[in-house]
Amino acid sequence: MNSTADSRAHALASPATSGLRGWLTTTDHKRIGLLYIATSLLFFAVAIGFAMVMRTQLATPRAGLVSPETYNQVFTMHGTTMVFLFGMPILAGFGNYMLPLLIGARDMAFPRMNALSYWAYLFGGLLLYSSFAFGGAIDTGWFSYTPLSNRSFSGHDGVDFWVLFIILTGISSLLGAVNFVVTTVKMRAPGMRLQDIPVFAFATFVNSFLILFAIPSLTVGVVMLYLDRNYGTAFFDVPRGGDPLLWQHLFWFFGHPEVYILVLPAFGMLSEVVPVFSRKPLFGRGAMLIAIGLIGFYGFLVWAHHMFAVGLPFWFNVFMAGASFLIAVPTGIKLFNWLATMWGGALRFNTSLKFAAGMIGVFTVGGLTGVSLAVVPFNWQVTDTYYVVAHFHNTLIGGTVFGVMAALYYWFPKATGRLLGERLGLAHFLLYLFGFLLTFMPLHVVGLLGMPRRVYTWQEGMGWEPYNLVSTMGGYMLALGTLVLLWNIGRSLISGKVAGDDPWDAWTLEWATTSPPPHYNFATLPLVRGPRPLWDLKKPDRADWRRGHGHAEEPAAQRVRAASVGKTAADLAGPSGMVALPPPHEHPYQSAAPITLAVGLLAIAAGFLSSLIVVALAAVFVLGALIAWLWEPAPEEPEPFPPARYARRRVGKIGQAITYRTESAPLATLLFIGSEAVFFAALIYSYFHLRYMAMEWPPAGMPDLPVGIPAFNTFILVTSGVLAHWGMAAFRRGDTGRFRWGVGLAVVLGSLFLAGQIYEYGHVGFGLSDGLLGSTFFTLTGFHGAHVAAGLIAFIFLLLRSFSRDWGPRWIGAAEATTYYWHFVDVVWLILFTAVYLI
Amino acid sequence: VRRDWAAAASLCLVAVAAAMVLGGCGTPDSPSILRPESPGAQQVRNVTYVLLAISIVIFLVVETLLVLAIVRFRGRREEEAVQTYGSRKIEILWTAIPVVIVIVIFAITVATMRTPQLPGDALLLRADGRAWWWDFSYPQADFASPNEIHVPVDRPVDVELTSSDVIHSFWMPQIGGKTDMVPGKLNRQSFTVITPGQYLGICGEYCGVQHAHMQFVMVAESPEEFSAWVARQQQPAEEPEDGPARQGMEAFLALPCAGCHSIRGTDAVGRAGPDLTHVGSRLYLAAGTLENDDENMARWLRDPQGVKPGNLMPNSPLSEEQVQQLVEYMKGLQ
Repeated sequence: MNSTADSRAHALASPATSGLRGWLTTTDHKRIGLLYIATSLLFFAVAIGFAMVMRTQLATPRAGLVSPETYNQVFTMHGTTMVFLFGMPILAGFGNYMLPLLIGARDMAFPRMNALSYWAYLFGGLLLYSSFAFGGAIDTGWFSYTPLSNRSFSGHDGVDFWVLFIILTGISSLLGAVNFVVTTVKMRAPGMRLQDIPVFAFATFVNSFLILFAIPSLTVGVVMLYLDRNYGTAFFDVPRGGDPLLWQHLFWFFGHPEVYILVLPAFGMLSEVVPVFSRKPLFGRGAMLIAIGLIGFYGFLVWAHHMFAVGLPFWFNVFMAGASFLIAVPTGIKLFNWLATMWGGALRFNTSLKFAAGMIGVFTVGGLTGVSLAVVPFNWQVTDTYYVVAHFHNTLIGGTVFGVMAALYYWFPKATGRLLGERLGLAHFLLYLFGFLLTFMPLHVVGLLGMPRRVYTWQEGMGWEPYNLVSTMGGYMLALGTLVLLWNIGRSLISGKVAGDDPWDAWTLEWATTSPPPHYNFATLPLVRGPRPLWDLKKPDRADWRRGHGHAEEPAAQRVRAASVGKTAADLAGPSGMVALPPPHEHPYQSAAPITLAVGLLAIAAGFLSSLIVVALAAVFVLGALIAWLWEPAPEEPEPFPPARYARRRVGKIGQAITYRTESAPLATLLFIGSEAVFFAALIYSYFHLRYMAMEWPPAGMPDLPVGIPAFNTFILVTSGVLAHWGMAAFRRGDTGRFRWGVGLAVVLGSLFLAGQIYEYGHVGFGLSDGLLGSTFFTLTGFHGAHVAAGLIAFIFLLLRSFSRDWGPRWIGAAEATTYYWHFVDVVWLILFTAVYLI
Repeated sequence: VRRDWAAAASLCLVAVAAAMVLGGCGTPDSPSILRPESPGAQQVRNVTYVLLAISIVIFLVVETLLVLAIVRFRGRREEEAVQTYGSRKIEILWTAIPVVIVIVIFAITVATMRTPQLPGDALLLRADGRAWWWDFSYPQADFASPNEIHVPVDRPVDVELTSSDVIHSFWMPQIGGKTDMVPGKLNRQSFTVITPGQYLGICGEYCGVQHAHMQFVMVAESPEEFSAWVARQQQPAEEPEDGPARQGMEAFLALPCAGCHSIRGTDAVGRAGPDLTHVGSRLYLAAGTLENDDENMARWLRDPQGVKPGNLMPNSPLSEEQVQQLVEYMKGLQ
């Protein structure tokens, strides 16, 4: 308790961190996590308000509470808010707050990028909501099917606001995902192997890959939609050869992984809560980790099970159904393993475990109805009825929300130093459980009775009355439960029972520091030898690793580390079992760069909703903000314990140690490139999709594309790649001169490439709005050109930086990252050149 | 004592599940997928019951284990919790059993997905989705019948589906599943109705502001009744001789009505709204959502935007006299 008070005093001691300014410029993952959680709870309350409007309107037939226009905005904003402004960000918030604590790190790998992802999320949300003041919010459903979302059927700008919002929050999610992966890979505590990290951290890790590979497909879709609506392209425009089903493929290739993005972290949360309150290790931990990975992987193979009714080929539907059934198997494994964890335990049946048990009980129903929905003929009957609404609320409330609540009651004392009230917790839980059952169980039935989704009213005489009325009553209970939760949070913050550092006698690293933790998280850490480091520490003779769970051996990582400091990690740990970390910085690291950059991004988005002049001005501002960001002196973090496989490789290669931060840039870039690869894959898929639907190509009346300039451009770009590679190799040997030559020539050639492309645009004889050829040609080559330009800017920055005083091996990471990126741009061009000009 | 609320919660779950099963049939008027009237929909109903049975067994196993775990192991002393880490045998077992179950369900799925080959004498129907009504036509008999179709029982029907604006979905819950109506794409659905009666059709894809009021009715009748209906529908509209109906016709042709609606046998040839040649014979107005009687017809004519806000028929400044005349005219279009 004393230590809690100390850390509070410490947190408040530094003037730079206090007040509004402290929060606006924070880069502390804990504060960012709290901002995420608080903001998303706010949006949660708003979206529940929308749900209450819907349930009130639907309680009785032909009710007139709201107009159809209003209702359609309300249901669209309910879904959009719940998915993008509550679900994803609250999970990101928990990830942000907990991940470094769970793996024994002092912050995320990229603290400023972390802050940027919060501000991009917040501004994206505000942008979306501002559409209410500019002619109306989006009313085409969270899936916004074309052609309903095209300009001809959706005249006001709600869809455009939504597009820009999707892009802003997409940027936020991608940055967050890169950060989570790099942090997990590079910054684990001494001795912690990837399979030893807490399951919530592992779920967040897997989830990040889902985000990286799913979101670009949506980005491509909304960009095309935006161009169709505002610049006359023809991607989804049927009379000009476009295809509305292309939108559905792009949307659901994102949309199905998205539902796992919303539920996998909740699975992770349950896997933290259930063992601790059952006083047993997680049953079948290995299988649980594999199951998370499998669910994530299968999630990419089932998108068209949302499209069974659109008339796709028979065998395609068979494949999608089969893959969907497969997902039931790892999901079942998870449920049974949680049950087995509880079985034979000594249950502490507090609110957290109640929500966890509630999730096991309720999610089962969602899983079973999910299987039924993959039975194609049954799906044809119930798709787009209230049966589906009931199904996915079983998974998203029964799964995500109950999981988040279990985690909230579990981790609240860590973040605030105070416990949430158990009596209010019981009321909250009962209102949620029974409210949920009353709301959604009847909706299964009314769906089977033929009630379609997304109707603003319904007619009497169909036998739907009792189900709708009961459902609305249940909805009010859920809303009341949410008020109880907010009351509980408020009351506990002020006068909750003081928790102490480890109120649950738990086993993972976050409980090894104070509540709330100091800005540097840990002064010392136990040596990690398995998934339950604090159990091993508290019960040394019954330690997991003594029973074959964890590692008794010194891991290779520790040996290499030891070589550099002359001791083994066990020596460092000493008899107490705690490893002292290097002394932390006195004050947390504050920076105004992230919020400045986010303002710039918001301005660009606003420009795309008003005028291209604003876009241009905002782009200049963003470029300036980026340069300021890159130039800002980031504090040299004392390096705790880099996973040493990398350290060893690097030490051998360049003859001097490199901090893990330097190492992080290339990894982050590779992840980003993976995401970008999906982006271009989706673009190129769209191109072939439309091209092979067209009767002839190039379409009648359009010219054949001349190959001369692009062929020369190909030669130029490949040469620039070789030169950049040569320069980079020289830099690794310590030869800055040759590095400048290689990169400098690459910049010259890259600029020539762009000049050639601009010349070609002027002479190709058609424009962006000239049918499918114009749409696809300019979009494909234009996005590639933008990537070339981004690579050039990065190279130019490195060249300038190479004349500054701090130039040296610590820049190898950044240079390597840029070179990877440049090679990627090369490869994309080779594919584009083949697809657009040659085939 | 307090432990029992957990058991109560689970009982509630079971009770709700039971209510679902029992309540699943709805009232006799429900467009319920559990009261099918075609062989295809009957097959789906049977599959539904198989799925429900499997689900209930799994549900009961999970909930029983959950409740037992809570009742037996809550509040025990710390030392009693045995530190078990897993069991390969049990884990293989509860991986293998679900695998077997999903293989069975997959087999059922593939077996029921195929639609049977249509015989040559199938009745051909064309359906064009519109915002927010159904443009049905009978190409073999060459007439349009918006928002209402008639079919003979026991004869296969083949419907060609497309859309002129946004995506809609063709769905008659008691007859078969949904098939989307996608602009630029031709989908088909075929079915055979086995019982005479009226069946509700519902738009199954969100299509904009009046998606909620996009329905149609299908009348299944004996082959003789069907032939008589076709013969009547093929006729052009009868021109009323005199009286209010005659004045109604004149008003219809003079007012903007004819710009959007067609009435065969008159100069009204608009294509934007439903064909009204036999509107008086139809059971419903406003795309299957309003019973076709004088009062509703008058309501609709006075204030279409009040009855179905946002629909594409604008309010016209009609005098009450004109409304009554139009009602008479429409009623006579049998």
